Amino acid sequence: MMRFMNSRCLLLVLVFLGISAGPQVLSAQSLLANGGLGLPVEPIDARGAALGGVGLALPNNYLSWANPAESGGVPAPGLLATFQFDQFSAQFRGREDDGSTARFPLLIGAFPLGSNWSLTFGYGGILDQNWSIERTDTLLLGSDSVPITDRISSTGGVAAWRLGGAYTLGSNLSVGAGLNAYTGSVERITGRRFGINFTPAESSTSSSYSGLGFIGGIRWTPSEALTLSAAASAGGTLTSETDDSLSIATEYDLPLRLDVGASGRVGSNTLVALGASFAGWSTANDALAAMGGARDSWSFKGGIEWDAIQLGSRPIPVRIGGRIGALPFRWATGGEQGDWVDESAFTGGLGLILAEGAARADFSVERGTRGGDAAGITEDYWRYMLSVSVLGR
Amino acid sequence: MSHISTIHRGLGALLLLGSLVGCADEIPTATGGDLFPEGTLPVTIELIVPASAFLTEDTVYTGYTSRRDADFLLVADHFDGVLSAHALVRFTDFPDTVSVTVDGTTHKDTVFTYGAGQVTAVVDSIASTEGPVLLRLWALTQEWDEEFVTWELAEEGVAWEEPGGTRGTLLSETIWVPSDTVSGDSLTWEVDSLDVARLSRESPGLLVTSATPGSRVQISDLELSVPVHPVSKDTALVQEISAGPQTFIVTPQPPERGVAWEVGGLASSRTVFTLDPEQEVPTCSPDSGAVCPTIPLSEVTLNAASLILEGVPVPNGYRPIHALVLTLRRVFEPEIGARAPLGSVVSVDSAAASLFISGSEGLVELPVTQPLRAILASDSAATMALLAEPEGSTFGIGWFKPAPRLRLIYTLPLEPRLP
Repeated sequence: MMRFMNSRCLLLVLVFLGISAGPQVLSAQSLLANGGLGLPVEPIDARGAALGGVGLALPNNYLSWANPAESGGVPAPGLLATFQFDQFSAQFRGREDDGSTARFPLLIGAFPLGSNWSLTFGYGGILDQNWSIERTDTLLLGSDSVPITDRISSTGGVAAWRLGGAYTLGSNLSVGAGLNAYTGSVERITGRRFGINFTPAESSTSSSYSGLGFIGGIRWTPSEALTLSAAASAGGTLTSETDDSLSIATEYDLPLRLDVGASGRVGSNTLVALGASFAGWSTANDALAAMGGARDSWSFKGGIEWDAIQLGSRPIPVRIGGRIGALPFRWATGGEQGDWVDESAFTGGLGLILAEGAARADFSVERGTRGGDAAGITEDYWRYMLSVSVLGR
Repeated sequence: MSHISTIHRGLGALLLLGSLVGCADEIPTATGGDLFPEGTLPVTIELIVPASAFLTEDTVYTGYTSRRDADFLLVADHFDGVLSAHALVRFTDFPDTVSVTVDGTTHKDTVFTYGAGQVTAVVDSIASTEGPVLLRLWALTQEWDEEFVTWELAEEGVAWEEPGGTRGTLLSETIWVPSDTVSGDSLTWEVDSLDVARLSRESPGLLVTSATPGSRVQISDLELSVPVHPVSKDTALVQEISAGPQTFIVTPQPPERGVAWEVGGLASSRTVFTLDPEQEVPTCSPDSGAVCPTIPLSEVTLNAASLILEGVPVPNGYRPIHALVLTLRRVFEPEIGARAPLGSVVSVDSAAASLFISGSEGLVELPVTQPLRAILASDSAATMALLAEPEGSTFGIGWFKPAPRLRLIYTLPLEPRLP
């Protein structure tokens, strides 16, 4: 009975957080969000982020967005929420802009169903479309010099609801599958404001996203020291439909995405994690040609976790990592089109394990760079993440 | 049990995280005009539309108020070389008895004498020419009827023996010095006790004139205060004598406006006109010289609109001395004509007095952005009234050329692009 009550309570909290945090899931994090379908968002927790972005194949990693099979063997209902804060500074065409944002990139929960089955559900950010460009100038109207500010802004993005399940085969193998229901919306506003009491000119249009995708994965632990995990997601189209009487729909092929990872203990207190990702965004190249096109994206990532430090009886894992990758969309601006954008980052973080693993808090920090001279923009960023997870056992 | 408390702590932490989400959130903004994709920068155009393109009808109505509704008196001496005005006043209700209270006992006395009195008024310096101005107070020797009195007529069918009021004795004179540190803008005429006694008997009243050529002074109603000495008591009481009719007479009569638009004046003239919202506006600046397609005004964003009025000199000394407060109101049921009801003020601005001086040129731009937007939204012609308010409170008349222009500043339709 107590177990049932705890589970129900967790579910209520998840619903609460989902409702309250939903609009912030895709808050802005980069000027590059104006390219193609936006900036891809990695729904990952702070532990994975500290290990360079390896979000699967980690020990005791039941609450993973990357692979539904990770929830196989979850001992009790669990819930994980991640809070993320970004600061970025971008240089382009001799100018510099900066900004900061905060958001929830990931909310995910898992329930054990019997001894072999488990159920996962969650909400994660997929594409960030929050950006704006602005200019100030002066118009000469008759004999009046009128200061103006022109602005194009985009707010919104694509997120996904996840419903998945996992089945354990023996003690070291689990398989999982899930359904991604894509959702979200974007509003574009173009306008001009005047420095005097003229009526501003503003026009907006908005559209909603929908679509279904599928994900399947496998996790294999051949020995206590080694875990392997792989997942693939694909399927369907992402439909963008304008929120007006015309209801014009545009469809984009959802990319095939592959995630693989491995972790191994190389010492009594040292874990090495490696991972790679691939997303076949080039299938949307034609549809996005007017916005700079699209290419396949990939990333390689890795990190080390060292858990020799303890605070009392509580382990404090220390993590470092890094990653390199290619983003699928260009920086879209007027004038000359820049080259494709790459990204690299160094990562690190700490964890705090409580109640023999029933609850944990993880913190990560990331210093990264996107773009470069060829891309027309160089963007440096600091990213801080805090994850809290509980298992109701 | 410890696990349950751990869960509760974890839930608390999650809720705390939820509250942190709103801490900082801003859209990343890149600045620079060169970052805008081609064709996405808004285009704003200024267009001056002639009256022939937007004005379908205009009429001047007048006579809503008259000299009797004015809350001021006018005194002038050949203002603008032409206009003269005299103020007339009759004091009534001089007392028959005087009550004196001594040691708590009130005595009534029917026998008393008047001392030297004072006639006072206040100058509206904003509505007057620059001083100093010599103002004279005369005794009138001919009866007058406030209903019919004019510069030439004292009563209906009875002319003044002397046009402008038949004067008797010069009772007093005073000099108005604007912003005088002692008197401010107050006027005081000292009146001899014998003159006061004469006034208290049957007298046609007083006349105020200006002896400063070129002056035009607007003053408040006159007040008379006199000391009264009861014969039986060694004391004096100051009595405020109630004024009877007060008015002013002017020569010459208001000028004919011809085709000009007219507002203000003692008759509260207003100009009523109809705007046609069915306008096509170009999609490029007229200054560019390019030929470009047009678009209905209703399809652009109207950033600003103003009615450009060009002042016309007003002769005969009837020009305003201070700025006229121009207002624009919607006219409901314009087919009724002069008595058509007006809506609330939709635009207000002031027209400098210099607009109406001979030899000067000037424009006034009356903002009409909001009313024009409302007209465009209703998609039907709208009748507006141009007034000088508050009505009846200004002597000066405003004239404008009957071909106002409409200044439009609009931004062409914007088309945000979606991914």
